[in-house]
Amino acid sequence: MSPRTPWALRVPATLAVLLLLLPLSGLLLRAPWRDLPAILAGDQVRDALWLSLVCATQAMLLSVVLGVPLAWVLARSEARGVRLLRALVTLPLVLPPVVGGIALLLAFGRNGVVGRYLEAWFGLSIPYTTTAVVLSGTFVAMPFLVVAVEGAFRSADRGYDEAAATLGADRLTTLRRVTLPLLRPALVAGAVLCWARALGEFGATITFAGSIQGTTRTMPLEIYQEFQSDPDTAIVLSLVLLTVSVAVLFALRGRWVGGSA
Amino acid sequence: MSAAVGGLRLAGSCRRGSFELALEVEVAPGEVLGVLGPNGAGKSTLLRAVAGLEELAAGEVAVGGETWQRDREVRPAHERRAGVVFQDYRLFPHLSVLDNVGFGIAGRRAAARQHAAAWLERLGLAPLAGRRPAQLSGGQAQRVALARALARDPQVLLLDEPMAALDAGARLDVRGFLGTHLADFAGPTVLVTHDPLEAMVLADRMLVVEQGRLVQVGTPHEVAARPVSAYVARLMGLNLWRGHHDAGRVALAGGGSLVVAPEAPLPPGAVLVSARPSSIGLHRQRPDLGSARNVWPGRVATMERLGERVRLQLTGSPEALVDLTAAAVAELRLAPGEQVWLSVKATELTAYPDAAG
Repeated sequence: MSPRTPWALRVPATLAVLLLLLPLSGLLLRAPWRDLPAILAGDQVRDALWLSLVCATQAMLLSVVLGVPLAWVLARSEARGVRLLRALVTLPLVLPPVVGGIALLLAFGRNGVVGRYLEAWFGLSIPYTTTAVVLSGTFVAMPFLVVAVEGAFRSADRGYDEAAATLGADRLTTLRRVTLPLLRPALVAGAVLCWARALGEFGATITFAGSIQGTTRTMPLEIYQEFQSDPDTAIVLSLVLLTVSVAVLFALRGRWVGGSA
Repeated sequence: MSAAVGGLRLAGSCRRGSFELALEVEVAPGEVLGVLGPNGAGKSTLLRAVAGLEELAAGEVAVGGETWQRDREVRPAHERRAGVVFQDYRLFPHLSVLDNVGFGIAGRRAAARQHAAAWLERLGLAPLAGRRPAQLSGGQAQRVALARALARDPQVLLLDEPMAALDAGARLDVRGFLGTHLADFAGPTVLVTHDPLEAMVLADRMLVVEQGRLVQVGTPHEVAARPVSAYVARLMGLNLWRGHHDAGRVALAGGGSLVVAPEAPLPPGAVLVSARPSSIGLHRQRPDLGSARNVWPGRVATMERLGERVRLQLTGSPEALVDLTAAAVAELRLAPGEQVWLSVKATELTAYPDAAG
């Protein structure tokens, strides 16, 4: 900090840094480094880590497949009600995840608005399955991708779309061969953010999917569970997620996602 | 060429804000129509209406027997075979030159590449095939953009200010290149520009548009020799005066009068009179008449150096642009504010009927 920074700003700023970084350094200081390999090799830990990676990746893929077209519609459609739609679909960004979990349960639960028919017609029951974990992750994380990609669609140079049209490309071909390749940095950034958000999801997951080892107990749930009985394991698992987060941050700031992130 | 070669016809109007473009244009196969006009005159709108990037509010666009728009029936841009060269080229930055040129070629990727390579070869651009647009100079990008438009086998070729973004050196180069390849194209070509030289060199026929309206149409020579608007006269570097002709004397609308000697009989009525700035002489003293039949007093308003000449703007009745050599300016000891006499021979003036009058 430069010596010119007024005290009235320097003090709270320093406190803010401490508040953000002290707990994290606490995690590093308290970590049982000696037992770390043994703890990481445990069945439960391995299950949770694997499940988390698989579910976060699936949630990300689902978000890309559904979210990119949604972002296109929000950015390019001139239909009425698009502004309202944009507000609604980004709601999960600010909604407490546990509320999302309850909402998901009311929609896809056995007596839910949709779940009732899934059960009756197809014999499908979603709550407390791995599918529920993926849906929870998608619910909370897809808006991150949609917001990032929609902004990119908006600021993209429409001149290239026009050029593609004069070369015989319809809107879908233009999207596939011109617009999306040009938006790749935003797409990658959105997907990484989305994946990271899905990986850390707790509230919606525990409400909608429960905490069943190997099926729905992801890393955050495992950490919470272990913390009741074996704090050392919880700390080690937290370190794992901290490492992943640092890697994500690093990736988003790296040049391969466009440099401006 | 897969489709029958045919002409382009556009007749209709297009509204943009407070401004309305209303035009009727026909371009024959093989003909290059230069569309000249000031910025914001609606030149680009005309191109966009043909390409399908904008709709005419009412009217018709037809190319080679196909109707591309008739009032509300609009064929989308990607179903029209229009080759467009945009002012800023719009080469896809993520694709190589080869894939840019192959983009509009229908069929399998490999076949499109082969076809694109043939076009690059034909236009002498083969060495650039592997480059990205960011690695091209302005002149190279311009050529690749033309190759991309031609490779689509278009029924009509549309060029929007193709040289506006180039420096003077590249401009000369590209002008020659365009001249060659526009001549090879069998369909109608529309070239929008605000550079009269570009239009004169490349166009078979010129159309002058101002504020959305057709002002003048004719061969480049006709337009250059007999401009009908102040804008065209200024572009061509000519003096242009409006007036009323009667028996060899023109009473000018802005005051003053000129004696003219038209080659063909000129009936009484509204006329335009044009004169090259270099055909007007300046004198410190009122000259005796001699063969310079028109003499009037004026005052030097501005002086501007143009290469080896000096262009002077003079107030008076009428006001005039005059080109002198630097030596003549020195000899006459001219400076802004000086009182002088202007003279011009009747035979140096071109007088012709003013349709707008």
